[in-house]
This record gives sequence, C-alpha cells and structure tokens, in this order.
Amino acid sequence: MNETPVEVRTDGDTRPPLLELAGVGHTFGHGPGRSGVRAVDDVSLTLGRGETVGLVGESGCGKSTLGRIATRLYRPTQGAVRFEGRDMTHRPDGTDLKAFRRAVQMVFQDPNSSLNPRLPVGASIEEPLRARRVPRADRRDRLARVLEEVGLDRTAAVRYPHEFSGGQRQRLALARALAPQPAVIVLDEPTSALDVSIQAQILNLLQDIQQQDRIAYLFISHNLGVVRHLSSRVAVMYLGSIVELAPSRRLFEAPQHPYSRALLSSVLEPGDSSGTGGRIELKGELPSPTDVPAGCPFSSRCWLADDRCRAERPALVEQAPGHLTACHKPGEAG
Amino acid sequence: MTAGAPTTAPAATAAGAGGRVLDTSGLRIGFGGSEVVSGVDLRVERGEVVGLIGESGCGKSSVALAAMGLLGPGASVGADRLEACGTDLLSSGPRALESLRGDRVAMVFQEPMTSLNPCMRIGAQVAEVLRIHGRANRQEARDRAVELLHAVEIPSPERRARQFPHELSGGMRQRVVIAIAMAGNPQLLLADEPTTALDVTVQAEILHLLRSLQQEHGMGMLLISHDLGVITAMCDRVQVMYAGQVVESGTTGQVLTAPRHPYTRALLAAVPRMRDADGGRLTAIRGQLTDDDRRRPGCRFASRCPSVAEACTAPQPLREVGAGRTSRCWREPEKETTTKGDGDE
Repeated sequence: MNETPVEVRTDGDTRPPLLELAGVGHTFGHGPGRSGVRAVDDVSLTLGRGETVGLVGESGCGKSTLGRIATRLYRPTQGAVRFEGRDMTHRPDGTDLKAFRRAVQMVFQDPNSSLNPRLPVGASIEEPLRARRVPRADRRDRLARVLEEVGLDRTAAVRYPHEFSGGQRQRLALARALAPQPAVIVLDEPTSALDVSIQAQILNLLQDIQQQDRIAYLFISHNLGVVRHLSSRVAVMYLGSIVELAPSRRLFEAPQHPYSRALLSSVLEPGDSSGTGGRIELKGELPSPTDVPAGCPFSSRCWLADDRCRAERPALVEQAPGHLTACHKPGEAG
Repeated sequence: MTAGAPTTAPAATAAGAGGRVLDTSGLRIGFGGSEVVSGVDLRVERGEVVGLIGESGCGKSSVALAAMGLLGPGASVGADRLEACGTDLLSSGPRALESLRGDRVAMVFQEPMTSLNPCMRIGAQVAEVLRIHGRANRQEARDRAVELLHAVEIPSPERRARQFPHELSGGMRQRVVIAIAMAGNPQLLLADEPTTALDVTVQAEILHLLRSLQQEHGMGMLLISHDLGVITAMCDRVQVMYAGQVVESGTTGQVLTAPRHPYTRALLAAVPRMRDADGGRLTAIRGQLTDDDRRRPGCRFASRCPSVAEACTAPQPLREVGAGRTSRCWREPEKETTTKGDGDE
C-alpha cells in the first residue's frame, strides 16, 4: 500500500533512518543478586520516513515492551534508540529529547487510557500542545484540524469521553497523537478492542493519515491479517527477540523461520475451509521469559532443532535482500 | 467415556424431534426497557456445531445465557419455545435448572479465570462437578478428574490436578474449563468466544480439542464468536445476528462464501486477510449500531447498509431463500417452490 519505497540504507538516501533501535533490550527487575526478566533482548530495527513496520508475536514476546522502548517510555537497559541519527538514550541533549518526545507519539489498545474522563476531549487533545506552550489560537486551529482529520465534527471537542463509542474514542486518541505533528506513531494493538466493521474504519483512517502526512507507523498487533494489510515490512518476535524480518509480501508468502511458519499456519480465515487442517503443531508451551532456552530461543519447541540449535544462538542474518532470519536451518521443510 | 445418553436424562430422547438438544423459537430478551434479542429461532441437533456470528451488542451472548437459564432476574425472557435437552427452561424451577446445568448442558466462556476458583486446586474443581451431580463418590471423583484432565490433553494430569489456576497458562486454564464442562458428559455445549483471549497457536489447539471432543461424544455445540475464521473452521451451520435479530442463516460454506444478506457481505469485506495480497482500502461499514436502529420497524441494518432503498423501511421478515437458507432482506427473492403451503401464485 506504500508507494514510497522502503528506506533501506542502499538506495542512495544518505540520511540516517528516522528511528533506529540499535541492539536494544530491556530487563525488568534486575538488580543485585537478581537476574530479572529479559523482556526484550538485543533487537535492531529501523523505521523509515512514511513507512509502516509491523511487529507481530504472541503474548509475552516483548512486542509492547519494544514499542515502549521506541517511544522512550522505557529506557532500554541495553543498546540505543536513535532519532534522525541522534542518540536518545545516553545523556541526550535536552532540546533533542524534547523534539523526540514531540515527534514520536503512541496510541494504545484502550483509548480510555489516553483520554481524561473528567476533561472535555478537546482539552485532552490540546494537552500535548499546551505542554509545549503553543499559543492558544494555534492550539485551537490545530484541534479543529486533527478532529477533521480523524473524521469527527469539531463540536466533538466540548464533549466528554463517555459520550463517545469505542471506535470514536480510538479516533480521539489518534487525534491526540496527531496534535503535535509527529513523524512517528507507535500503534500498540489500536484496533484489537474494536468490532470488525469499526476496525476497518480505523485502518482506512490510518492509511489516509499516513498518505496525507507521511507519518511512519510502528504497528504492533497479534492480528496477522491486520498487519499484512497495513505494513510494508514485518518483524516476527518470539521470547524477546526478532526471529524474522522481511518485506510484508515475502514474510506472508514465504516465511523462512519455523516459528513464523507455525504462527501463520495457525491463522484461521473466513471462508477458508481448510480450517485447522494445515496447521503446524508446536510441541510444548511457550517457555517463561525468566527461563529462555539456551541457544535458539525457539529450540525447545522447534521440530527442526538439533544439538547446534540448542547450543548456539543463531544471528539475524540476511537470506535475501531485506529478508532477515535468525535460524540455523531457514526455510527447511520438515 | 461413552457417547451414550446418560441414564439420568431419560427425558432428553422423549422430548422428540430426534436428537434436538437446543430448540428455541421466538426468543425475546429484554433488560429494563430495551430489547436486546427480538425473536430468535435457533435449533441445535446432536452431533452438530452451530455458529452464532455477530458484533458487540447483537445479542448473541444473551441467547446463550438464556439457553442455560442463566439470565438474572433483571432480564425479561419470553419465547414460544425454549428447550434444552428436552427441558423447558421457561417453566422449570431453579432445582431443575441446577440439575441440567453442568450436566446435560455445559458452557465454556471467554475468560477461563472467571470460571475457575483461584483458591481451589484444579483437580478438586473438576471433581466438584461430579460430586454435585451425584455421579461419583469422593475417591471416584478424584480419579475421574484426572481422567478428564487427560482427555483434554493436559500433560502430566496427576501433577496438574494438585496445582492452582494461577500456575497454568491461559491455554491450559481453558482446557481445565473444558474438562469441567465435559465432566457431566453433556449433550449440549455452549461455547461463548472460547478462544478470544488466547494467542493464535493456542487458539488452534483449543479449537482442535473442542472439535474432537464434540465428534467423539456426538455433542451438539453452539459456538458464539465474532471471529469469522473461527466460525469457518468449526461450524456446520451458522446464524448471523444483527441488533437482536437473525439476519441470515445457512451452512457455513454457503453463508461465508456466498452471503445473501448485505450485513454478512459487509462483515466479510471488512476483514483484512492474511492471505490477500497487500491491498488498498478495506470496505468498512459506515456508522455504528445505535439504539434507534433497534426500534426501527423496518430493516435494522438500513442506516449502515450500502444498498439501502425505500423498501427497507417496511418490516423485514426472515425469508427462506433456498434449502435451509434464510435472509432478512427484501432484495433476496423468496424460494420459488415451498414444500408446504397451497402453492398459490
């Protein structure tokens, strides 16, 4: 859906990527004598201008933690977050960080978490502008603009969150993210709480906004259909690591990592009568993130795993242009 | 366990209509002043899986609760017929309903933690059902509980039986809930969004388990879901609900590959597909369901329908549009030859 080519470092664009996660990781609850839970481990990912990168995986894979690292809601315990080439993690320049906070916005699954129930929604949407001391008249203009952009009437501004439906509230949360004119929006399961018919409205809206404003999206979802629809590139996460990263079409048509293949085979689609027939059955349960298997994190459930997989962690390497897989036996049947 | 009808339910077969385990007609459910279900007919035969599709607020969960006699005193329930396993739910007292629930009729809900007692060991929770329905003494119930945990493919069931719910993953918890549901060897299983809270790989396992238990025991099953993929994989027949009414029904293949009602068509078009080439825009359904729609004498989908016309303001009966197929839209030509009736013009 993106006409603009994916910004890879080989296409002559010498600018640094818009947003770069360089070997980031986050360990919760570590300290003296405690190793903690490594929710994200050594993840590298770039996001180009106007691009949508999808982040998929099952509960506990670290995709939401990664989204929060990308917005610097969490400070990574390893690696660095760079915005237009400038480091935002280690003693960043104050004005740089301020610009970053404006330029990288986030929308969550539950829109109520970003709307104050006791304020008219207009006040909630203006809040990020007020924090940056934007003059009142400019704030009003911007409010009217973003409400129009998300398909709501400007009179909505004086109403309270409870007066809106779930789909309208998600539009409002999006308006709030758009108000400071961001370059990146991290969308964490933005349509998971919505009905299918309303989800389609929001997905179309996201596409329209991207085309108009050239905003980059980091789109986090467990719904593979939605991710395929919106993303130009997709990263599959398992137990805190990216196991496969590829252009959307390639990932869905020719997944290389055994986990990606198992995940895709489990998706049920309407009208597809093969049902659960072609499913790859995984053995065992998802290991706890406190107890990640040695070697390849997927080795405890992989039908291809051998001694090497259980001992040596595979690196994320490029198998084909733009298609990276962290597997000792990529694409192998079995 | 055997698929034979339990001896405690002689009325089930005596109730006639072959092996019909759920039979409702003209079901109406209201809360306070507003009606959430307006005249639903629903039949489930033994050995068959019927899907109930719809979005939030369409009334699908209320239908399931009514079929279990679980709607509280705040609800007003009326029907021409409302029978589960031969028991009339409208005239039955609390005692009769209690002996039915968890025995011949069982239910699995979306969130397993709402069904499980967090302070009770898993084995005891399964055994409890057998004890309450007088199917086993203490020791037998304990052994049987482990067998049931084994039947729902929980690894090392003896060890798991001594654990508490919080020690299990979401998928394992849902297996325990299914084991509890299967304890009474039910003839009818009501599953309300049983996999919605689960990840896709776990969802596939749970659906596979439900399907094989259903076939092994010849149960009738009513599966409620908003997920058209889940419905496709599981159901023999489906009914689509919108704003408290059934708008379309037929076999799963018919309804989901050649829908006859504009709402079903719109719903299918709104789903982003994983196997589609990355495409342009989705066909969204404009607007949203409002309370006014429910009060409309004509088609309740009219305010959102892409092909709305003058005729849509007239009341829309559910028409038979083919063998076993119905649609609540005047655009669908009525089936030409009806078996009953006078054969007039």
